[in-house]
Amino acid sequence: MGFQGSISGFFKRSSKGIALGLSVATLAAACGSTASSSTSTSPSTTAGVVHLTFWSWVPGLQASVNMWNSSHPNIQVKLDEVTSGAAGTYAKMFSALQAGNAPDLGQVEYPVIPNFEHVGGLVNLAQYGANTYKNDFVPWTWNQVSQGGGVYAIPQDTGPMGLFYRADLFTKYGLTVPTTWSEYLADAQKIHQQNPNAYIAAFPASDSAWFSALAWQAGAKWFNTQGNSWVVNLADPATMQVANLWQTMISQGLVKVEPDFSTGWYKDLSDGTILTWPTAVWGENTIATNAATTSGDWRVAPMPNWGNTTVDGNWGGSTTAVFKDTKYPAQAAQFAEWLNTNSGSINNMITTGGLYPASLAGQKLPAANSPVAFYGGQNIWQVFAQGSKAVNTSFLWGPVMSTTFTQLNDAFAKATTGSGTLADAVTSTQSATVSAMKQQGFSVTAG
Amino acid sequence: MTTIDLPERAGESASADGGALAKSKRARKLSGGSRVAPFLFLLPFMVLFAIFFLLPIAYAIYQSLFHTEVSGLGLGPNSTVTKFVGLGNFSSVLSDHSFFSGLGRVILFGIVQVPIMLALATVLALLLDSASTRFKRFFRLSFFLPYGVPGVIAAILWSFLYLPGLSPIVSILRSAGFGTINFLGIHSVLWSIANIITWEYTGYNMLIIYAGLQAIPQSLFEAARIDGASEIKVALKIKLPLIFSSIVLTAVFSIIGTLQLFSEPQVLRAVTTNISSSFTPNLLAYTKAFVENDPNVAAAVAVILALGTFILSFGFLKLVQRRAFSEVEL
Repeated sequence: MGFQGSISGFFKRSSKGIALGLSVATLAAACGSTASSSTSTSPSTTAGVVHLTFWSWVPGLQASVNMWNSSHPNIQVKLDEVTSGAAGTYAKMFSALQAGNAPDLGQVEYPVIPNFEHVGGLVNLAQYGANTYKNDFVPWTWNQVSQGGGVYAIPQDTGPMGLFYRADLFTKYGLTVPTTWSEYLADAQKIHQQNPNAYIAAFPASDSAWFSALAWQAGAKWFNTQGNSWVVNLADPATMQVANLWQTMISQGLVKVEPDFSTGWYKDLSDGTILTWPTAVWGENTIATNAATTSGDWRVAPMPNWGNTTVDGNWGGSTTAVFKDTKYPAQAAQFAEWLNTNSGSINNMITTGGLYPASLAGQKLPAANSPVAFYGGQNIWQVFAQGSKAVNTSFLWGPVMSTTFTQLNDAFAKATTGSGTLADAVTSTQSATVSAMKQQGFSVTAG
Repeated sequence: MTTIDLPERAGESASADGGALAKSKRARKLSGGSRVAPFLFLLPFMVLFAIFFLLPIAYAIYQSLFHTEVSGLGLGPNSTVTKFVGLGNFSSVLSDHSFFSGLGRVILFGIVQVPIMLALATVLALLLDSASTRFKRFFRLSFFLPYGVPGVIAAILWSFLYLPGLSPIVSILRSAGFGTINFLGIHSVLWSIANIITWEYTGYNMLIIYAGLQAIPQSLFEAARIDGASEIKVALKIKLPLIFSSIVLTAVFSIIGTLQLFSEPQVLRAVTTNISSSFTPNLLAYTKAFVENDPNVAAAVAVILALGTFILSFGFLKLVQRRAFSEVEL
């Protein structure tokens, strides 16, 4: 305890100096300094040097961490490369929190933040000046990381949505790029009339996160808080609109029901069985990697809309959070803020990690603004920059999202095999979510 | 059993014959260090057994008795408490429709798949053991080979063979006029998994039964042949009854394996949407623990499943015991 006290005392005294050092480092990194691997963490715990552990799965993040370590000799961060959250790291994080030995910092996706909050796992970063960064980030991200006056994570990247489509096949079938969802449905029918083995898209019944992004775009508001109570409203009109559209396309056989990111789906993307994929910005890399033979055939358009106003949704993205067990919350907070606002670090995350930054300044970096050869030299980023501005800011995640997603996946799978409709699936997930939350003791009102 | 019994009986008779002297001698012999020795030899096993077997089971039972309760919005450090709920998790699992549909699914699976697999394994073992079979070593190895492929890899391999558009099987069947057969459909996927399991474990079970056949003294067959029994008659009337205990053993293993079905459906979930998150009881436990972050309910599912497996496998043993053991004594 004495040691800990002296460290925090040291930090308080010298916080100005560190802040100064930070801005110098920002400048240095902005000039495009490459990471020096010589500044690895020293094993000896010299007095005054703070050691932090950081769990993340972003490829190439070590370069960003190296930049930090070389410019911050007194706060050394050790990066542990872990598998992605849903692949087991969240489970590990939850167990570590329970056991009291969680890392200082971790990669956490937006929908999971409320879950970590309700197990008391996250440090409120507002007390370490996080609120001063509020205007540096895309507005919806800040709404999702903050709760009341608290800030529980620093946004890192986002997944604004766009419509990836096969330009060559659109010409072949004589289609125009849809700007509304009713045009999308019309295109789907035209495709299927001309070629019964071609579909406008796949419906991934087992990926309800994708569906949530579409609902988000339609203006859904699944979760909200009212006083000391959660309001759950999965089956709102906006969500039902999305469910009904895809149900229509499923019933008419206009979409192919199959899991996304699966071998068969990659094949369908490659051979023209599937003509579009409404997805997030990171889908760029998914197509380029798994349908490499279609180079030059794909283009990106803004998402089709539900009305006259342009609204976008978001799929994916994550944050850097500080876990409760850290001995050095102030230093950890400082690192989390630096990691996601420093232009050198962001540049690295864009180029090697394939992330689309949550930082507004980061979205303007050249790395996120150049034409992409795979997309016929289209500067696809402009679509997503526009989309990012138009993302509905009021969408919030609930505290038991994993249960909600699991229920929705299972219910969609049932609906696509003929028992019930997607709308029924949404309704049953609404009641399943409410009862799961009540069972855990949350105070809930169904919207 | 008999070989273990022998020295004990000898000791008893010796003490009975030799009287008090022998008795005290024996007591002296077992006193001091030598009495501790057996336990010392057992210690490494007992320690590992306790750490990796008893302790986890005890911890799972302990975990299953608690529940994490949230209040209000569930935000802030003091909004979550873990409290003792007794059998509360068990009653919530037992009132969960998806648990029973998963259980029903694996039981149906077991009723169909286990007999088919064991019949196949028995036939293959008898064929291998038959005097007229050639290339025995080659066939033995090739039947056993699938077991050498790890379960997850086998499931991935088969998933490619099931996927329409990729699978040569699907396209061959289509060109043969069977239409497009969907191996991953809502009703067919369970049997596609059964096919993977059968492919994987038939050879393994065959080997156990084959080992049982090898243990039968050749003199029995000679006697039968002298009496004029044909090869088929020897197989049916002599070999089959004598390997009954081996078949019972493989059946118990298969029942346990079936109830614990996990990796094959988990792998196939990547290629089909028709395997729900609660497709088998083990998958449900996995979902509860690692997707929904509710280790307490997952522990309850695991404990119920363990009890069910225990009851089913011992129930089966009880059912066939008399017959199996009477054959062993032969």
